[in-house]
Formats: sequence, C-alpha cells, structure tokens
Amino acid sequence: MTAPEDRLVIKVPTEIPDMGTDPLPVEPYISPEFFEKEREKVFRKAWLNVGRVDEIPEPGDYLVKRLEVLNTTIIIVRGKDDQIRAFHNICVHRGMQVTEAGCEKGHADGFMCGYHAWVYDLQGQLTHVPGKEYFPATDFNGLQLPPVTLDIWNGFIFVNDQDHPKLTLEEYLGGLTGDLGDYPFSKFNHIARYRAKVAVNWKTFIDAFHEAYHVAEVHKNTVPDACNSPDNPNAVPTSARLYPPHHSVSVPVNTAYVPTPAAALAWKFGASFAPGDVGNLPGMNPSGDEGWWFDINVLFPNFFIDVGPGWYFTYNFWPVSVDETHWEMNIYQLDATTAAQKIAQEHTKVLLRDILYEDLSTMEQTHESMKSGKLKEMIVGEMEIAVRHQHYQVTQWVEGKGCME
Amino acid sequence: MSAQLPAPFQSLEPFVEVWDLGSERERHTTRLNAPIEESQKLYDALLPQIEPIAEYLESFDLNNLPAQEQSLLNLALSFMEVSLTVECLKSPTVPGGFAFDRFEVLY
Repeated sequence: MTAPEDRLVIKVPTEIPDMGTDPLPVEPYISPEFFEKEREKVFRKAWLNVGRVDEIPEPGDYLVKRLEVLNTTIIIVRGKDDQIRAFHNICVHRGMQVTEAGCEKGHADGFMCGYHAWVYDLQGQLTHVPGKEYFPATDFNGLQLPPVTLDIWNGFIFVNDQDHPKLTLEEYLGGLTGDLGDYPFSKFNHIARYRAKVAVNWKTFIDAFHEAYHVAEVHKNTVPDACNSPDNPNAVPTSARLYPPHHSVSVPVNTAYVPTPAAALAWKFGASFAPGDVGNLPGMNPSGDEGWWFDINVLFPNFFIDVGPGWYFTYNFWPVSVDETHWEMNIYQLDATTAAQKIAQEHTKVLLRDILYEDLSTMEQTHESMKSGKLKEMIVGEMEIAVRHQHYQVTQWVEGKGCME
Repeated sequence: MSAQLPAPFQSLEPFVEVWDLGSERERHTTRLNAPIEESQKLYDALLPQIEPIAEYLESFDLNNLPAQEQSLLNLALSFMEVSLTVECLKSPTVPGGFAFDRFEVLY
C-alpha cells in the first residue's frame, strides 16, 4: 500500500461543493417514499435524454418511448417542417394511445387512434374526427396531442416534464457543454444497442459506471490490465470536473498495456475500445491528462456520454420503481468506409458488450444487500468522487434545492 | 457445390455454414452456444487471414458487397466476436457475468 501522504490526488479544476466525507446513507436506495420524491423533484424537473436526431432523419419518422418514471409514453416525431417535437401518446378523446402497442419506432404522415379513428397530424393537431356532428358541445379548435417540452443539444434530444422549465437545456447543461460541445458527434454512426431490465435501484446502477476503482476486480476477465498500471494500481481518475448537477471523470489508461492479437488488428485498422492511440478529436480529455483513456460525462440525472478516440457510447438509466431499472447502451463510431474499419468496429462493440456483462453482474446482489436493512451506510472514498457528487445532487434536489426549482 | 467464398479464401469454407452471419446478435448467439473448441478453431484459422481479408475487400463498396465477399466479411466479424472468448474469457460466456439471456443485443 502507498503511504497515505503519497496517494494520487485527482485533479479537479472546478469548484467542489461541500459534499462532506461521511459515509452515505443507504435509505435513499431502498425507500419507496424517497423514490416518489425523486420522481417528483428530480425526474419531473430535469432535462431527460430520450434519443438522437439521427434516429429520425426524415419528416414523418418517429420514436415511441415509455417513460415509467413519468408515468407516460411519449412520441418524438420529425415534422414536415423538419422540426422535432414531442407529444404524450394520448388521444384527447378518451385517452387511448395513438400508436400500436409495443411500437418503438416508425414512419407516418400522422397518427390515428386505434380506438375511434381520431386523426392527428405530425404537429400533433387533431385533423379528423369521425361523426364530428355528434359532439355539438365540443370546440375542436386547437385540440391536439398533449405537447411535451423538448430541446436538442448536439443532436441529443431531451424532454422536460415542465411546461416552462426554469433553465433552458443549454443553461442546464452549463459548463459541461464547454468541454464536450466540440466533440464531433454528428460524424459518428450508431453501431450497437444493448438493453437489460435489472432489479436494482437506478442510483446503484449509475454508481457502477462513474468510477474506475472496480475495474481491476470486476473486469478481471476482459480488460484486467487496461487502466490499472504499476503507477496507478487502483485506477484513480486522472481528473474530474464538477459542473453541478453534472460531472465528468477522466479514466486512466495503463500505458504499458499489451493489446491482444485481435485488439492489435483493430488498432491497425481503426479505433478500438482497447487502449491505444488517443488521436486528437476535439472535446475529449479536457484537462489534457497524461495517461488518459476516456471521459465519462454524466448528464444529471440519468444519462452518460462516454467519449474516446474514434468511439463514444451512451447509457440511459430509466427508473421503473425503487427496485427496478431499465438500462440502454448505444455505441457510436466514426463512419466505416472500408472493410478494415468495419472489422475494427466489431472489436470495440464486442469488447464493450462483454465488459458490460461484468458491470451488470454486481447490481442485483448489491441491491439485495441494501434491502436487507443490515447495511445502513456506504463507505465512499476519494476515487469515488462522482458517486458522492451524484448522491449529493439527488439529495439536494429531493430537498427542493435543485437548480430547476 | 459452387464456391461460397472468393478464390483466395476458399480454405475457410468449412466455417461458412456456422459463422457466415450478418448481424451481431446472430454472431453473439452462436458464440454463446458453441463449444469453446469451435470458437478456437475459427479464431486460429482466421487470425492470419484478417489482414489479407481486409486488403482483399479494400477495392469493394462496403455497402454493396457481392455474396461471396459479404460472407468473407461476415467471417471476419465472427472472428472478432469469438476473439474475447478465446483470448481472454476462456469460455463462451462471460465468467461471473450478468445472465446472457437477460442481456438484449438489439442488432
């Protein structure tokens, strides 16, 4: 063990709120009452990512998203005027959804309710009601699918449950966009999507993804020596930046990492997730760290954009209940124009995916332990600064002290 | 039977039946269900061929490959699929990992 005074110190160039150093209470991870407060004070107030503009490139393309935490299903659609809008998937007649059950994505000129065939255009306006003359008391003027507040940053689509959110999306993301805003997201293609439904609180899930302390043990079968090096055996982040309520953490790399034969081929052809040439894309490694692998950018409360040289990936963590979270991962890479690049992309995909099997393995056992009531507090160290900051922000928001109040 | 792979790579034809798969989901499912020996055979046969394959396919339009060339690319992608199993995991599944039948690979 290193002497305490010789331990590595994470560079944090931004101001650090007074988050304390005490253990964190377990109660917020298992309490149904706390979860209800999170629903009202966090998820109904924050900007929430629901997709990317390239998922709906043509007018009439739409996505349907079930948002359990908001108790609603929304439609995100590109109009004939190329504007992207969002609506609650609710017919104003008697409430039936206007897309087919289970539909996640489609293309249409409008939406017809499958109950009494009321029709809405792509801007959500009610355009046709069969037997309209039998509703003499109804003023149909201006009736439409209930709108959802929507905004877009760098191609990422966000919605907000408030009609008039206190901060615009740009204001909300704040300093985080300064670092990340230059990353060339629009040059990347979507190459993979993974999902899982896991019996775990959403915060426990998130906490596994913004520290690298776990890598040596959890990822011992996939990337055992990718970020732990003799100089930094515990994978202390090279830097972190807090932009409350968001943060960004830079993950260290083992510069002595020896690639496997497949990883070496991938790096010869393109960019792999395995450590290698860091290249010079703008918007990554904002603190200019030596021994840098990639940046974990956490957009409060539940969206991650992890950026690296030639690939980036996102996580959405959607709470369903205090005990259940739906997780989705999307991977993006610079366009493959040659077979060689395509083969390299496959390595990134396969490596990340198998790493994720390992990450997900700790969730349900941890949640079971928390629910036992035998663990009252969690011990959180310096390397887990992001875990502490996330917990601090959730607590602040639940107490009505969030930036969207 | 007519050739399934371009002439320079016909020695790889024994792998076509199992590993000529067009999606990550199919390749992953096949890896999970194949004995590790099968993945090892594919890996050993393909490893020295990956660079020649990449070079050979260089002159083709990636989005419009003829059938034999597409099969060849699919084998190279299957090589990457099994590479983790062979090089690191020593197992078709991820040891100690989340249940594979609960992990959804969408494409």
